[in-house]
Amino acid sequence: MASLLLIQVISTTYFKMETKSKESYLLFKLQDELFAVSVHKVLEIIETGEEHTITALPKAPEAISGVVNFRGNVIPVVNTRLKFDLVDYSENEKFVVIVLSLNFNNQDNIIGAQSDKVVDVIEISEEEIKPVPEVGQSYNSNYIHGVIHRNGKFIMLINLEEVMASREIIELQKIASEVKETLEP
Amino acid sequence: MFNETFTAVFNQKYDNIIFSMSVNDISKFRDLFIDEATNLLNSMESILLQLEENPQNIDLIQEVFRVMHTIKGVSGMYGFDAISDLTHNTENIYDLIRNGSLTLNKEILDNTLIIVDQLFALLKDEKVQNKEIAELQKQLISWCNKVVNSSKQPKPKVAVNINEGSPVTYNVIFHAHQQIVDRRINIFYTIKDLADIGEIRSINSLPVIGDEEERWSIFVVGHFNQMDIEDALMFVFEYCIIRKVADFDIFDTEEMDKNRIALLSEEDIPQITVPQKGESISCKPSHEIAQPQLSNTESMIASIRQNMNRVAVDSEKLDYLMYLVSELITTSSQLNLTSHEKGLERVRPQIEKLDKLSKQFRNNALDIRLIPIRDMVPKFNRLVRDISNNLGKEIEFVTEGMETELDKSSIDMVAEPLVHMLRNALDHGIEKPEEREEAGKDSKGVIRLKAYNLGNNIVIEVSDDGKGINRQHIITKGMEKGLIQSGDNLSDKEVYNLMCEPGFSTAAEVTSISGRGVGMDVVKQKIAEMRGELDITSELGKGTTFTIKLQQSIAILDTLLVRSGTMKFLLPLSDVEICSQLPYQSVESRIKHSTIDFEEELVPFVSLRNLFGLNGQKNKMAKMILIKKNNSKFAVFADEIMGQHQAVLKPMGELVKSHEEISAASVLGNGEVAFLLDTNSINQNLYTKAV
Repeated sequence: MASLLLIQVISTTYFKMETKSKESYLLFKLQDELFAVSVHKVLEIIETGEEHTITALPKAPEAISGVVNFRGNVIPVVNTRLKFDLVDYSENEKFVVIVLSLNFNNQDNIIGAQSDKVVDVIEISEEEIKPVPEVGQSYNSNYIHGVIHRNGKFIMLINLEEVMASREIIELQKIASEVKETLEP
Repeated sequence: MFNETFTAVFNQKYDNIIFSMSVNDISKFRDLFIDEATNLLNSMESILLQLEENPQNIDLIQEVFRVMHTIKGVSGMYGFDAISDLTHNTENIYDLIRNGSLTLNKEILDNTLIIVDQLFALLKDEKVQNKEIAELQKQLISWCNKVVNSSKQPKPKVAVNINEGSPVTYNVIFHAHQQIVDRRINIFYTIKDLADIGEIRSINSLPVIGDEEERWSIFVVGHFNQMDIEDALMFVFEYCIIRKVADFDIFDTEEMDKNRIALLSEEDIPQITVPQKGESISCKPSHEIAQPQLSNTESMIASIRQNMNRVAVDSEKLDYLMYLVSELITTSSQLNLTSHEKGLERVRPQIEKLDKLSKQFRNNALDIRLIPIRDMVPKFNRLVRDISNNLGKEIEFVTEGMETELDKSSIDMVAEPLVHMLRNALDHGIEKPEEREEAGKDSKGVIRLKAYNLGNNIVIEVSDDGKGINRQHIITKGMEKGLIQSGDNLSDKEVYNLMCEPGFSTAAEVTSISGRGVGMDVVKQKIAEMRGELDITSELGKGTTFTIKLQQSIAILDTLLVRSGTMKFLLPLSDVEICSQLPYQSVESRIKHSTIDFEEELVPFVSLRNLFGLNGQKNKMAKMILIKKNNSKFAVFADEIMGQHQAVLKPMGELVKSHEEISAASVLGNGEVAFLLDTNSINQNLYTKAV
């Protein structure tokens, strides 16, 4: 009996750090590229419409499309297409907002990221993740922390913290094509 | 279509995982430790300052020892080795002091204060990566060793009464409460501490009654006293019942026989059976033993009751409460609006009551978050003490109205400006003792920190009886820095405002305390962030007073809701002086000048349409809202005034933090978002443009 508590203490103290080698990732699309972000960072996916309208924020910094009411809080929505130097959404184009909890600038930030659509949730094992090749100086490889190859497609594991903390517009297309070129068999 | 069903399923499926994940996060416990350590160290400062007043007070010395011991124990568990090391050394010193082999002197006190600072630093830099910190660490530890070695007779802690007299037996009933697990107290350490002071003869679990938690009975035998055992059990003290069983070793059968007659004078005694290995002990205490336990329990209950008057609550819980309250307020005002529609007359009274109740509820919830300013005072005492010592100035620090309460978040934010203001008063305000005597003043300067309620506002004043602000000096400096052209026609207020310009520093020589060119501008900026006001008054030779005016809560604000184009904006109601209207045409014709004639006064203005580039159909008349802020006026033009709104303000996060005209957002009853205009910064922009 007495040992029960001791075991409990030991186990809570020492074995909590155990991690699974497989992790779930949310797969989403931006134009033709596939990206994945760990589901642990995703709080919710918002369909924009009646209930959730993005309120434009006048004089907002670049690539911020506005703010949205998320569970009573007001969170900024990042126009990922603009952030990645892609063509902006046209007026009636549909999109979803992925609400993420990201830690950058030393604090937890809840932000929304516009995305064309979410595709799937997939399990990715650590061995499957290929490191980003070091070739090519034209992009900052900090933005992508790995690439996986599934069903003949490349999926990029995006380092959203870096992306959001950075003030610059990131030339995603370039990064994507360069990564692919170097990895293409 | 797939998209929609998918998102719905995703949200449902992963919501729970994410929240349960974060709850178990190991870092939470570390944070808890850092919180606890910070609290303990904060209390240390005031204890040390008290010790300075009366260095003989053994209770205070004991307290220092306990705090060091606690931090030492827990920090080791979380890998803060440097902290553990330093506290261990400090603990040794105070151990010698409480034993009487060392006398507390100023050097020890001063260095202990430095150690407290170092511990604060180590909490942030656990790996001791900062070189200065590492260097200081070395110095402090070698100083500690020096002090310990220099003490009269360095005697080991337990050795005092070894082999003197007979050993004693203590019984500890240890309540294995779930909290112990939750708080991550490592019981091994406790057991080890116990084993250090005496010999653990048995640990047995007691029969569990109902759903009570597990209890253990521990017998410890050795040469120690009540205090030692309390020290050993300090982490789990509140879960223990400690009592002395006998003045001899009850496990020693020979001794037992000797003492048997004395102990077992009554018939029903032999319930304390000497446990065999592995056998559980049934512990029905005899009368002699039961008696102290009773009084112990009573005093325990009394002390628990005493603690019940104050409840320490995790601030996250309060934040969540505030969130719920704000949602309630939003819904209830929405309901209130709808109730004016036809056909709802019957439920009107109830809705009105609900509205009243939720407002009371809001006030009550806000009240819970209020913290008296007093909680910051020990820090300020320390600051004044250190700096005045450093500068060779004699200061009397007087506080007044410290029971005045402010919202938790405001307390956090106001601390920094207050520190700067106190530093300024110490460094620039109060003169050196000789100078003061020459001027015919008491050689001891007075710095006064005063707080009080004024209507809906809280006012905090920092005043000194020093030399006052030299107007001419500031004007000269301002001209040197190119901030102004000439000092003519400047009002006192404008001159004092100059001091708050970034990069302005009047100190003739830069000291380590203030005058690094940061200071007043930070004060002003921080206060503006809190939507407060700063006022400076000064009289040459008599002293200076800085006055901060704040709202009690910065989370909820009464505002005026206005619309321009499709956008909705909020203006703090307390800033609104008057509302009026003018034809849009006349506004537009004046836009270049950005001033407008109102009641025979030329008032600068902004048009929201113009400021934010808004389109959409215009009314014929523009609504004018006259804002009074920091004793100056300006006008805001909008399309429509929509009414009052009790805004629950939400920050918009890191990404849009730097927005100039908009400082926060609020969700309206219908889920729409409205933006709070930053009247301070608009005001400032208008006036700088005008100059």
